Amino acid sequence: MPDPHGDSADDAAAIEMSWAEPPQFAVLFDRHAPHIYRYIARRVGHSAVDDLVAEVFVAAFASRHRYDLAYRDARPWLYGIATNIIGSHRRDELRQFRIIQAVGPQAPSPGHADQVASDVTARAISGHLATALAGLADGDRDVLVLIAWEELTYEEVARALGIPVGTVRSRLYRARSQLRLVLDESSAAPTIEEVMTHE
Amino acid sequence: MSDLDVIAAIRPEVPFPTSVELDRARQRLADAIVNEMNVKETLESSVPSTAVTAVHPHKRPRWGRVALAGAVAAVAAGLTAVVVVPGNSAPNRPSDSLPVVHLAAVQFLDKAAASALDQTASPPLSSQFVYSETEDPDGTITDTWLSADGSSSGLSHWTAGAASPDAGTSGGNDLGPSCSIAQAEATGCTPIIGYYPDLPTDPNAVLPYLNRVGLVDTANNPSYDSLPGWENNVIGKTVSELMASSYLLPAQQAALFKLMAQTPGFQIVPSMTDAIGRTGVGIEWTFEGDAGAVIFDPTTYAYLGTRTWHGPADFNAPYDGDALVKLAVVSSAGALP
Repeated sequence: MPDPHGDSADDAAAIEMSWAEPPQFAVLFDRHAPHIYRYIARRVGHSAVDDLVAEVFVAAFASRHRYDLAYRDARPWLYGIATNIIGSHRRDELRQFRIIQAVGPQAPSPGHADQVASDVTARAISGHLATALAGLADGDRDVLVLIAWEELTYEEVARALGIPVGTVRSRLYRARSQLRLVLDESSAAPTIEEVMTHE
Repeated sequence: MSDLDVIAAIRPEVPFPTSVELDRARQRLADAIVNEMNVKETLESSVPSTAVTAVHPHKRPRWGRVALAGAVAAVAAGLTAVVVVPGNSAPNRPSDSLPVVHLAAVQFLDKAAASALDQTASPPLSSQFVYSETEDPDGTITDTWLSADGSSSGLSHWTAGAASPDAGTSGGNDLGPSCSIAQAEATGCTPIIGYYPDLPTDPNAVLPYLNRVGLVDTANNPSYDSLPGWENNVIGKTVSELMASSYLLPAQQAALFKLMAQTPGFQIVPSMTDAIGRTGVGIEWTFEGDAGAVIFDPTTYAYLGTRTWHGPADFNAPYDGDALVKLAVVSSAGALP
Protein backbone atom coordinates (compact mmCIF):
# COMPACT_ATOMS: atom_id res chain seq x y z
CA MET A 1 0.00 0.00 0.00
CA PRO A 2 1.49 3.38 -0.91
CA ASP A 3 2.82 5.52 1.88
CA PRO A 4 -0.07 7.94 2.47
CA HIS A 5 2.38 10.77 2.80
CA GLY A 6 4.60 9.67 -0.07
CA ASP A 7 7.82 11.38 -0.81
CA SER A 8 6.08 14.59 -1.87
CA ALA A 9 8.89 16.81 -0.65
CA ASP A 10 10.49 16.48 -4.07
CA ASP A 11 7.39 17.15 -6.18
CA ALA A 12 8.27 20.73 -7.02
CA ALA A 13 11.85 19.75 -7.79
CA ALA A 14 10.68 16.92 -10.05
CA ILE A 15 8.30 19.22 -11.88
CA GLU A 16 10.97 21.87 -12.34
CA MET A 17 13.37 19.27 -13.71
CA SER A 18 10.69 18.02 -16.07
CA TRP A 19 10.55 21.40 -17.76
CA ALA A 20 13.81 20.54 -19.50
CA GLU A 21 13.73 16.76 -19.00
CA PRO A 22 10.15 15.59 -19.54
CA PRO A 23 10.67 12.01 -18.29
CA GLN A 24 11.24 13.39 -14.78
CA PHE A 25 7.48 13.93 -14.59
CA ALA A 26 6.97 10.17 -14.30
CA VAL A 27 8.02 10.45 -10.65
CA LEU A 28 4.75 12.20 -9.84
CA PHE A 29 2.76 9.36 -11.34
CA ASP A 30 4.43 6.78 -9.14
CA ARG A 31 3.95 8.93 -6.04
CA HIS A 32 0.38 10.07 -6.48
CA ALA A 33 -1.45 7.93 -9.03
CA PRO A 34 -2.71 5.46 -6.40
CA HIS A 35 -4.45 8.26 -4.45
CA ILE A 36 -5.89 9.87 -7.57
CA TYR A 37 -7.09 6.48 -8.81
CA ARG A 38 -8.81 5.79 -5.54
CA TYR A 39 -10.40 9.26 -5.43
CA ILE A 40 -11.79 8.95 -8.94
CA ALA A 41 -13.04 5.42 -8.34
CA ARG A 42 -14.81 6.55 -5.16
CA ARG A 43 -16.62 9.29 -7.01
CA VAL A 44 -17.42 7.81 -10.42
CA GLY A 45 -16.85 4.09 -10.06
CA HIS A 46 -14.43 1.72 -11.78
CA SER A 47 -15.69 1.52 -15.31
CA ALA A 48 -13.66 4.44 -16.69
CA VAL A 49 -11.18 5.04 -13.91
CA ASP A 50 -8.14 3.94 -15.97
CA ASP A 51 -8.84 6.50 -18.66
CA LEU A 52 -9.67 9.24 -16.19
CA VAL A 53 -6.47 8.72 -14.22
CA ALA A 54 -4.60 8.91 -17.52
CA GLU A 55 -6.41 12.16 -18.39
CA VAL A 56 -5.39 13.66 -15.05
CA PHE A 57 -1.70 12.99 -15.50
CA VAL A 58 -1.60 13.83 -19.19
CA ALA A 59 -3.32 17.15 -18.38
CA ALA A 60 -0.94 17.75 -15.48
CA PHE A 61 2.04 17.02 -17.70
CA ALA A 62 0.76 19.44 -20.33
CA SER A 63 0.32 22.22 -17.77
CA ARG A 64 3.43 21.54 -15.68
CA HIS A 65 5.15 24.72 -16.83
CA ARG A 66 2.54 26.72 -14.96
CA TYR A 67 2.99 24.84 -11.68
CA ASP A 68 3.80 27.10 -8.73
CA LEU A 69 7.08 25.72 -7.42
CA ALA A 70 6.42 27.29 -4.03
CA TYR A 71 4.20 24.30 -3.31
CA ARG A 72 6.41 21.28 -2.73
CA ASP A 73 3.50 18.84 -2.53
CA ALA A 74 1.74 18.45 -5.86
CA ARG A 75 -1.05 16.19 -4.66
CA PRO A 76 -3.61 18.98 -4.11
CA TRP A 77 -2.86 20.22 -7.62
CA LEU A 78 -3.55 16.75 -8.99
CA TYR A 79 -6.74 16.48 -6.93
CA GLY A 80 -7.86 19.73 -8.55
CA ILE A 81 -7.28 18.40 -12.05
CA ALA A 82 -9.06 15.18 -11.12
CA THR A 83 -12.00 17.11 -9.72
CA ASN A 84 -12.30 19.08 -12.95
CA ILE A 85 -12.30 15.87 -14.95
CA ILE A 86 -14.87 14.32 -12.63
CA GLY A 87 -16.98 17.36 -13.37
CA SER A 88 -17.24 16.12 -16.92
CA HIS A 89 -18.56 12.80 -15.68
CA ARG A 90 -21.39 13.90 -13.46
CA ARG A 91 -23.68 11.17 -14.75
CA ASP A 92 -21.21 8.52 -13.59
CA GLU A 93 -20.95 10.23 -10.23
CA LEU A 94 -24.70 10.33 -9.80
CA ARG A 95 -24.82 6.66 -10.70
CA GLN A 96 -22.35 6.00 -7.89
CA PHE A 97 -24.63 7.82 -5.45
CA ARG A 98 -27.52 5.66 -6.58
CA ILE A 99 -25.38 2.58 -5.85
CA ILE A 100 -24.64 3.89 -2.36
CA GLN A 101 -28.31 4.59 -1.97
CA ALA A 102 -29.21 1.07 -3.00
CA VAL A 103 -26.63 -1.01 -1.19
CA GLY A 104 -25.33 1.27 1.53
CA PRO A 105 -21.71 1.58 2.70
CA GLN A 106 -19.45 -1.33 3.56
CA ALA A 107 -20.02 -3.23 6.78
CA PRO A 108 -18.66 -1.40 9.80
CA SER A 109 -15.03 -2.10 10.42
CA PRO A 110 -13.78 -2.66 13.95
CA GLY A 111 -12.37 0.49 15.44
CA HIS A 112 -12.97 3.36 17.72
CA ALA A 113 -16.42 3.43 19.26
CA ASP A 114 -17.28 6.71 17.55
CA GLN A 115 -16.22 5.25 14.21
CA VAL A 116 -18.42 2.22 14.76
CA ALA A 117 -21.29 4.49 15.72
CA SER A 118 -20.74 6.59 12.58
CA ASP A 119 -20.80 3.46 10.47
CA VAL A 120 -23.98 2.17 12.02
CA THR A 121 -25.68 5.53 11.63
CA ALA A 122 -24.47 5.88 8.09
CA ARG A 123 -25.85 2.49 7.16
CA ALA A 124 -29.20 3.57 8.49
CA ILE A 125 -29.32 6.79 6.55
CA SER A 126 -27.01 6.13 3.61
CA GLY A 127 -29.76 6.36 1.11
CA HIS A 128 -30.84 9.78 2.32
CA LEU A 129 -27.22 10.97 2.51
CA ALA A 130 -26.47 9.79 -0.99
CA THR A 131 -29.56 11.59 -2.27
CA ALA A 132 -28.56 14.71 -0.41
CA LEU A 133 -25.00 14.58 -1.76
CA ALA A 134 -26.26 14.17 -5.28
CA GLY A 135 -28.47 17.20 -4.82
CA LEU A 136 -25.68 19.54 -3.79
CA ALA A 137 -24.26 22.14 -6.12
CA ASP A 138 -21.23 20.70 -7.90
CA GLY A 139 -18.76 23.07 -6.28
CA ASP A 140 -20.20 22.46 -2.81
CA ARG A 141 -20.05 18.70 -3.28
CA ASP A 142 -16.46 18.89 -4.49
CA VAL A 143 -15.44 20.73 -1.31
CA LEU A 144 -17.37 18.35 0.93
CA VAL A 145 -15.95 15.20 -0.66
CA LEU A 146 -12.37 16.46 -0.69
CA ILE A 147 -12.61 17.21 3.02
CA ALA A 148 -14.77 14.33 4.27
CA TRP A 149 -13.58 11.56 1.94
CA GLU A 150 -10.07 12.57 0.93
CA GLU A 151 -9.23 14.33 4.22
CA LEU A 152 -7.63 17.35 2.59
CA THR A 153 -7.20 20.46 4.70
CA TYR A 154 -9.05 23.66 3.89
CA GLU A 155 -5.85 25.11 2.47
CA GLU A 156 -5.27 22.06 0.31
CA VAL A 157 -8.83 22.16 -0.99
CA ALA A 158 -8.37 25.87 -1.77
CA ARG A 159 -5.23 25.05 -3.78
CA ALA A 160 -6.90 22.12 -5.50
CA LEU A 161 -9.94 24.07 -6.63
CA GLY A 162 -8.22 27.40 -7.16
CA ILE A 163 -10.47 29.24 -4.72
CA PRO A 164 -9.84 31.25 -1.55
CA VAL A 165 -9.89 29.43 1.77
CA GLY A 166 -12.86 31.58 2.80
CA THR A 167 -14.80 30.22 -0.17
CA VAL A 168 -13.93 26.69 0.90
CA ARG A 169 -15.38 27.37 4.34
CA SER A 170 -18.54 28.96 2.98
CA ARG A 171 -19.14 26.14 0.48
CA LEU A 172 -18.60 23.56 3.19
CA TYR A 173 -21.00 25.36 5.49
CA ARG A 174 -23.60 25.54 2.73
CA ALA A 175 -23.17 21.87 1.87
CA ARG A 176 -23.53 20.76 5.45
CA SER A 177 -26.55 23.00 5.97
CA GLN A 178 -28.22 21.60 2.91
CA LEU A 179 -27.50 18.05 3.95
CA ARG A 180 -29.04 18.68 7.32
CA LEU A 181 -32.08 20.21 5.67
CA VAL A 182 -32.61 17.13 3.52
CA LEU A 183 -31.92 14.78 6.37
CA ASP A 184 -34.19 16.66 8.78
CA GLU A 185 -37.02 16.19 6.34
CA SER A 186 -36.35 12.50 5.90
CA SER A 187 -37.78 9.62 7.84
CA ALA A 188 -34.36 9.10 9.36
CA ALA A 189 -34.49 12.49 11.07
CA PRO A 190 -35.02 11.13 14.59
CA THR A 191 -31.99 8.84 14.20
CA ILE A 192 -29.87 11.64 12.85
CA GLU A 193 -30.91 14.12 15.49
CA GLU A 194 -30.02 11.60 18.11
CA VAL A 195 -26.46 11.04 17.03
CA MET A 196 -25.24 14.04 15.06
CA THR A 197 -23.73 17.16 16.52
CA HIS A 198 -22.59 20.42 15.04
CA GLU A 199 -18.93 21.13 14.87
CA MET B 1 -19.67 12.51 16.31
CA SER B 2 -20.10 15.07 13.58
CA ASP B 3 -22.02 15.11 10.35
CA LEU B 4 -18.68 14.98 8.53
CA ASP B 5 -17.94 11.69 10.27
CA VAL B 6 -21.24 10.31 9.09
CA ILE B 7 -20.57 11.51 5.54
CA ALA B 8 -17.13 9.92 5.68
CA ALA B 9 -18.75 6.65 6.69
CA ILE B 10 -20.63 6.34 3.41
CA ARG B 11 -17.43 6.84 1.44
CA PRO B 12 -17.08 3.93 -1.02
CA GLU B 13 -14.26 1.73 0.19
CA VAL B 14 -11.82 1.44 -2.69
CA PRO B 15 -8.41 -0.20 -2.20
CA PHE B 16 -5.32 1.36 -3.63
CA PRO B 17 -4.75 0.04 -7.14
CA THR B 18 -2.10 -2.50 -7.96
CA SER B 19 0.73 -1.57 -10.27
CA VAL B 20 -0.96 -3.61 -13.01
CA GLU B 21 -4.16 -1.61 -12.64
CA LEU B 22 -2.17 1.58 -13.21
CA ASP B 23 -0.44 0.28 -16.32
CA ARG B 24 -2.79 1.77 -18.85
CA ALA B 25 -2.69 5.22 -17.34
CA ARG B 26 1.07 5.00 -16.96
CA GLN B 27 1.39 4.05 -20.63
CA ARG B 28 -0.68 7.02 -21.76
CA LEU B 29 1.45 9.40 -19.74
CA ALA B 30 4.54 7.78 -21.21
CA ASP B 31 3.14 8.29 -24.70
CA ALA B 32 2.47 11.94 -23.96
CA ILE B 33 5.99 12.46 -22.65
CA VAL B 34 7.66 10.76 -25.59
CA ASN B 35 5.39 12.59 -28.01
CA GLU B 36 6.50 15.93 -26.59
CA MET B 37 10.13 14.89 -26.80
CA ASN B 38 9.74 13.82 -30.43
CA VAL B 39 8.03 17.07 -31.35
CA LYS B 40 10.76 19.05 -29.60
CA GLU B 41 13.47 17.12 -31.44
CA THR B 42 11.76 17.73 -34.77
CA LEU B 43 11.54 21.45 -34.15
CA GLU B 44 15.18 21.63 -33.06
CA SER B 45 16.42 19.77 -36.13
CA SER B 46 14.46 21.75 -38.68
CA VAL B 47 15.84 21.51 -42.21
CA PRO B 48 15.35 23.56 -45.39
CA SER B 49 11.89 23.18 -46.83
CA THR B 50 13.18 21.40 -49.93
CA ALA B 51 14.39 18.41 -47.87
CA VAL B 52 12.23 15.68 -46.34
CA THR B 53 11.97 16.05 -42.61
CA ALA B 54 12.33 12.77 -40.79
CA VAL B 55 10.96 12.40 -37.30
CA HIS B 56 13.40 10.38 -35.25
CA PRO B 57 12.17 8.62 -32.17
CA HIS B 58 13.93 9.91 -29.11
CA LYS B 59 17.26 8.10 -28.94
CA ARG B 60 18.72 6.72 -25.74
CA PRO B 61 22.45 6.74 -24.95
CA ARG B 62 24.35 3.62 -26.00
CA TRP B 63 27.34 3.98 -23.68
CA GLY B 64 26.92 0.54 -22.17
CA ARG B 65 27.45 -1.33 -25.44
CA VAL B 66 30.99 -0.05 -26.09
CA ALA B 67 32.22 -1.37 -22.78
CA LEU B 68 30.44 -4.68 -23.28
CA ALA B 69 31.83 -5.25 -26.79
CA GLY B 70 35.37 -4.47 -25.71
CA ALA B 71 35.13 -6.80 -22.75
CA VAL B 72 33.83 -9.86 -24.56
CA ALA B 73 36.34 -9.49 -27.42
CA ALA B 74 39.12 -10.18 -24.93
CA VAL B 75 37.72 -13.62 -24.20
CA ALA B 76 39.02 -14.98 -27.50
CA ALA B 77 42.56 -14.34 -26.34
CA GLY B 78 42.00 -16.46 -23.26
CA LEU B 79 42.14 -13.45 -21.02
CA THR B 80 39.68 -12.89 -18.26
CA ALA B 81 37.16 -10.28 -19.14
CA VAL B 82 34.73 -8.66 -16.82
CA VAL B 83 31.29 -7.60 -17.80
CA VAL B 84 29.96 -5.32 -15.15
CA VAL B 85 26.23 -4.96 -15.45
CA PRO B 86 25.51 -1.26 -15.72
CA GLY B 87 23.32 0.32 -13.14
CA ASN B 88 23.56 2.36 -10.00
CA SER B 89 24.95 0.71 -6.93
CA ALA B 90 22.94 2.66 -4.40
CA PRO B 91 19.68 0.92 -3.61
CA ASN B 92 16.36 2.59 -3.04
CA ARG B 93 16.79 6.08 -4.43
CA PRO B 94 13.15 7.03 -4.82
CA SER B 95 14.00 10.56 -5.87
CA ASP B 96 15.74 9.32 -9.04
CA SER B 97 13.93 10.00 -12.25
CA LEU B 98 12.56 7.01 -14.10
CA PRO B 99 13.25 6.76 -17.82
CA VAL B 100 9.95 6.45 -19.55
CA VAL B 101 9.45 3.42 -21.80
CA HIS B 102 6.31 3.58 -23.83
CA LEU B 103 6.91 0.46 -25.85
CA ALA B 104 4.78 -2.62 -25.41
CA ALA B 105 6.54 -5.73 -24.16
CA VAL B 106 6.96 -7.07 -27.69
CA GLN B 107 8.52 -3.90 -28.98
CA PHE B 108 10.85 -3.64 -25.98
CA LEU B 109 11.98 -7.24 -26.32
CA ASP B 110 12.55 -6.77 -30.06
CA LYS B 111 14.76 -3.79 -29.26
CA ALA B 112 16.59 -5.80 -26.59
CA ALA B 113 17.22 -8.50 -29.18
CA ALA B 114 18.49 -5.97 -31.70
CA SER B 115 20.74 -4.46 -29.06
CA ALA B 116 22.17 -7.89 -28.26
CA LEU B 117 22.89 -8.49 -31.94
CA ASP B 118 24.95 -5.29 -32.01
CA GLN B 119 27.48 -6.96 -29.70
CA THR B 120 30.49 -8.98 -30.77
CA ALA B 121 31.63 -11.95 -28.73
CA SER B 122 33.60 -15.16 -28.82
CA PRO B 123 32.82 -18.34 -26.91
CA PRO B 124 34.83 -19.19 -23.78
CA LEU B 125 37.51 -21.84 -23.87
CA SER B 126 36.33 -25.26 -22.67
CA SER B 127 38.77 -25.09 -19.76
CA GLN B 128 37.44 -21.80 -18.51
CA PHE B 129 34.65 -21.09 -16.03
CA VAL B 130 31.72 -18.70 -16.17
CA TYR B 131 31.60 -16.64 -13.01
CA SER B 132 28.52 -14.76 -11.83
CA GLU B 133 27.80 -12.64 -8.79
CA THR B 134 24.17 -12.16 -7.75
CA GLU B 135 22.63 -10.35 -4.80
CA ASP B 136 19.34 -10.98 -3.02
CA PRO B 137 17.05 -8.36 -1.49
CA ASP B 138 18.45 -9.14 1.97
CA GLY B 139 21.98 -8.43 0.76
CA THR B 140 23.13 -12.03 0.41
CA ILE B 141 25.84 -12.31 -2.23
CA THR B 142 26.19 -15.54 -4.20
CA ASP B 143 29.24 -16.27 -6.31
CA THR B 144 28.93 -19.11 -8.81
CA TRP B 145 31.50 -20.75 -11.05
CA LEU B 146 30.27 -23.04 -13.79
CA SER B 147 32.55 -25.05 -16.01
CA ALA B 148 32.28 -23.75 -19.55
CA ASP B 149 31.82 -27.23 -20.99
CA GLY B 150 30.65 -29.09 -17.91
CA SER B 151 33.69 -31.28 -17.72
CA SER B 152 34.58 -30.05 -14.25
CA SER B 153 32.51 -29.54 -11.13
CA GLY B 154 31.31 -26.05 -10.51
CA LEU B 155 31.48 -24.10 -7.29
CA SER B 156 29.25 -21.72 -5.41
CA HIS B 157 29.90 -19.52 -2.41
CA TRP B 158 27.47 -17.30 -0.49
CA THR B 159 27.84 -14.55 2.08
CA ALA B 160 24.68 -13.79 4.02
CA GLY B 161 23.47 -10.22 3.82
CA ALA B 162 22.95 -7.90 6.75
CA ALA B 163 19.18 -8.30 6.51
CA SER B 164 19.37 -12.08 6.30
CA PRO B 165 18.52 -14.26 9.29
CA ASP B 166 21.95 -15.81 8.70
CA ALA B 167 23.75 -12.48 8.77
CA GLY B 168 27.42 -12.89 9.59
CA THR B 169 27.73 -16.33 8.06
CA SER B 170 28.96 -17.65 4.77
CA GLY B 171 29.29 -20.98 3.04
CA GLY B 172 29.50 -22.77 -0.22
CA ASN B 173 29.61 -26.07 -1.96
CA ASP B 174 30.83 -27.89 -5.01
CA LEU B 175 28.34 -28.00 -7.84
CA GLY B 176 28.93 -31.55 -8.89
CA PRO B 177 29.19 -34.17 -10.11
CA SER B 178 29.80 -32.59 -13.46
CA CYS B 179 27.17 -32.89 -16.12
CA SER B 180 28.04 -31.86 -19.63
CA ILE B 181 25.59 -31.60 -22.49
CA ALA B 182 26.61 -35.05 -23.72
CA GLN B 183 26.09 -36.50 -20.26
CA ALA B 184 22.74 -34.74 -19.95
CA GLU B 185 21.51 -36.20 -23.22
CA ALA B 186 22.84 -39.63 -22.34
CA THR B 187 21.94 -39.97 -18.69
CA GLY B 188 19.31 -37.32 -18.06
CA CYS B 189 21.36 -35.35 -15.56
CA THR B 190 20.70 -31.64 -15.45
CA PRO B 191 23.58 -29.78 -17.16
CA ILE B 192 25.82 -27.79 -14.88
CA ILE B 193 27.65 -25.73 -17.46
CA GLY B 194 28.31 -22.11 -18.11
CA TYR B 195 28.13 -22.14 -21.88
CA TYR B 196 25.69 -23.81 -24.23
CA PRO B 197 27.35 -23.89 -27.65
CA ASP B 198 24.31 -25.39 -29.33
CA LEU B 199 21.70 -23.14 -27.75
CA PRO B 200 19.79 -22.15 -30.88
CA THR B 201 19.72 -18.70 -32.38
CA ASP B 202 16.30 -19.44 -33.84
CA PRO B 203 13.72 -18.61 -31.16
CA ASN B 204 11.43 -21.39 -32.41
CA ALA B 205 14.13 -23.96 -31.75
CA VAL B 206 14.96 -22.83 -28.21
CA LEU B 207 12.30 -24.74 -26.26
CA PRO B 208 12.89 -28.04 -28.10
CA TYR B 209 16.61 -27.69 -27.37
CA LEU B 210 16.06 -26.91 -23.70
CA ASN B 211 13.80 -29.95 -23.45
CA ARG B 212 16.43 -32.11 -25.11
CA VAL B 213 19.18 -31.11 -22.70
CA GLY B 214 16.95 -31.31 -19.67
CA LEU B 215 16.77 -27.67 -18.67
CA VAL B 216 12.99 -27.67 -19.04
CA ASP B 217 10.40 -30.41 -19.29
CA THR B 218 7.54 -29.03 -21.31
CA ALA B 219 7.54 -31.72 -23.98
CA ASN B 220 6.43 -34.48 -21.64
CA ASN B 221 4.11 -32.47 -19.46
CA PRO B 222 0.47 -33.12 -20.28
CA SER B 223 -0.59 -29.94 -18.48
CA TYR B 224 1.62 -27.82 -20.73
CA ASP B 225 -1.29 -26.26 -22.53
CA SER B 226 -3.89 -26.49 -19.81
CA LEU B 227 -2.67 -24.03 -17.19
CA PRO B 228 -2.80 -20.34 -18.18
CA GLY B 229 0.61 -18.77 -17.94
CA TRP B 230 2.47 -22.10 -17.84
CA GLU B 231 4.49 -21.32 -20.95
CA ASN B 232 5.30 -17.79 -19.78
CA ASN B 233 6.44 -19.15 -16.43
CA VAL B 234 8.76 -21.73 -18.01
CA ILE B 235 10.21 -19.28 -20.49
CA GLY B 236 10.52 -16.39 -18.04
CA LYS B 237 12.28 -18.45 -15.40
CA THR B 238 14.55 -20.19 -17.89
CA VAL B 239 15.58 -16.91 -19.50
CA SER B 240 16.36 -15.54 -16.04
CA GLU B 241 18.44 -18.57 -15.10
CA LEU B 242 20.40 -18.53 -18.34
CA MET B 243 21.01 -14.78 -18.24
CA ALA B 244 22.16 -14.92 -14.61
CA SER B 245 24.57 -17.83 -14.85
CA SER B 246 25.50 -18.55 -18.45
CA TYR B 247 27.76 -17.02 -21.02
CA LEU B 248 25.46 -16.35 -23.95
CA LEU B 249 26.54 -15.33 -27.41
CA PRO B 250 24.74 -12.25 -28.72
CA ALA B 251 22.61 -14.25 -31.15
CA GLN B 252 21.66 -16.65 -28.37
CA GLN B 253 20.57 -13.77 -26.15
CA ALA B 254 18.59 -12.32 -29.01
CA ALA B 255 16.84 -15.65 -29.56
CA LEU B 256 15.76 -15.76 -25.91
CA PHE B 257 14.35 -12.24 -26.10
CA LYS B 258 12.59 -13.02 -29.35
CA LEU B 259 11.12 -16.16 -27.80
CA MET B 260 9.65 -13.99 -25.04
CA ALA B 261 8.44 -11.45 -27.59
CA GLN B 262 6.56 -14.03 -29.61
CA THR B 263 4.96 -15.67 -26.58
CA PRO B 264 1.61 -14.08 -25.65
CA GLY B 265 1.11 -13.18 -22.02
CA PHE B 266 4.21 -11.16 -21.20
CA GLN B 267 3.46 -7.60 -20.18
CA ILE B 268 5.68 -4.58 -19.80
CA VAL B 269 6.04 -2.67 -16.55
CA PRO B 270 7.76 0.57 -17.48
CA SER B 271 9.46 1.03 -14.13
CA MET B 272 10.42 -1.70 -11.71
CA THR B 273 13.18 -1.93 -9.14
CA ASP B 274 15.37 -4.98 -8.94
CA ALA B 275 16.55 -6.76 -5.81
CA ILE B 276 19.18 -4.12 -5.07
CA GLY B 277 17.14 -1.07 -5.94
CA ARG B 278 18.19 -0.47 -9.51
CA THR B 279 15.38 0.83 -11.69
CA GLY B 280 14.62 -0.94 -14.91
CA VAL B 281 11.90 -2.15 -17.24
CA GLY B 282 10.08 -5.28 -16.17
CA ILE B 283 8.72 -7.96 -18.47
CA GLU B 284 6.27 -9.78 -16.25
CA TRP B 285 3.96 -12.77 -16.28
CA THR B 286 1.52 -14.40 -13.91
CA PHE B 287 1.02 -18.08 -13.21
CA GLU B 288 -1.21 -19.81 -10.68
CA GLY B 289 -1.49 -16.78 -8.45
CA ASP B 290 2.21 -15.95 -8.55
CA ALA B 291 3.91 -13.31 -10.63
CA GLY B 292 7.41 -13.05 -11.99
CA ALA B 293 9.39 -10.54 -13.94
CA VAL B 294 12.62 -10.26 -15.85
CA ILE B 295 14.11 -6.79 -15.39
CA PHE B 296 16.16 -4.97 -18.00
CA ASP B 297 18.15 -1.78 -17.98
CA PRO B 298 15.90 0.67 -19.85
CA THR B 299 18.80 2.33 -21.63
CA THR B 300 21.20 -0.47 -22.49
CA TYR B 301 18.77 -3.44 -22.37
CA ALA B 302 21.22 -5.25 -20.12
CA TYR B 303 19.71 -7.96 -17.92
CA LEU B 304 19.44 -6.70 -14.36
CA GLY B 305 17.69 -9.50 -12.53
CA THR B 306 14.47 -11.23 -11.71
CA ARG B 307 11.64 -10.88 -9.20
CA THR B 308 8.93 -13.20 -8.00
CA TRP B 309 5.80 -12.41 -6.02
CA HIS B 310 3.89 -15.09 -4.25
CA GLY B 311 0.14 -15.03 -4.01
CA PRO B 312 -2.22 -12.24 -5.00
CA ALA B 313 -0.24 -9.48 -3.22
CA ASP B 314 0.53 -6.36 -5.21
CA PHE B 315 4.02 -5.36 -6.22
CA ASN B 316 4.72 -3.56 -3.01
CA ALA B 317 4.60 -6.81 -1.09
CA PRO B 318 7.75 -8.66 -0.03
CA TYR B 319 9.20 -10.63 -2.88
CA ASP B 320 11.95 -13.00 -3.91
CA GLY B 321 14.46 -12.21 -6.56
CA ASP B 322 18.04 -11.63 -7.30
CA ALA B 323 20.05 -9.04 -9.12
CA LEU B 324 22.89 -9.89 -11.48
CA VAL B 325 25.86 -7.79 -10.44
CA LYS B 326 28.65 -9.31 -12.45
CA LEU B 327 29.20 -11.94 -15.15
CA ALA B 328 32.63 -12.86 -16.35
CA VAL B 329 34.79 -15.63 -17.74
CA VAL B 330 37.65 -16.74 -15.46
CA SER B 331 40.39 -19.28 -15.64
CA SER B 332 39.38 -21.55 -12.74
CA ALA B 333 36.69 -22.18 -10.15
CA GLY B 334 37.18 -19.80 -7.28
CA ALA B 335 39.07 -17.22 -9.32
CA LEU B 336 37.71 -13.72 -9.31
CA PRO B 337 37.63 -11.42 -12.30
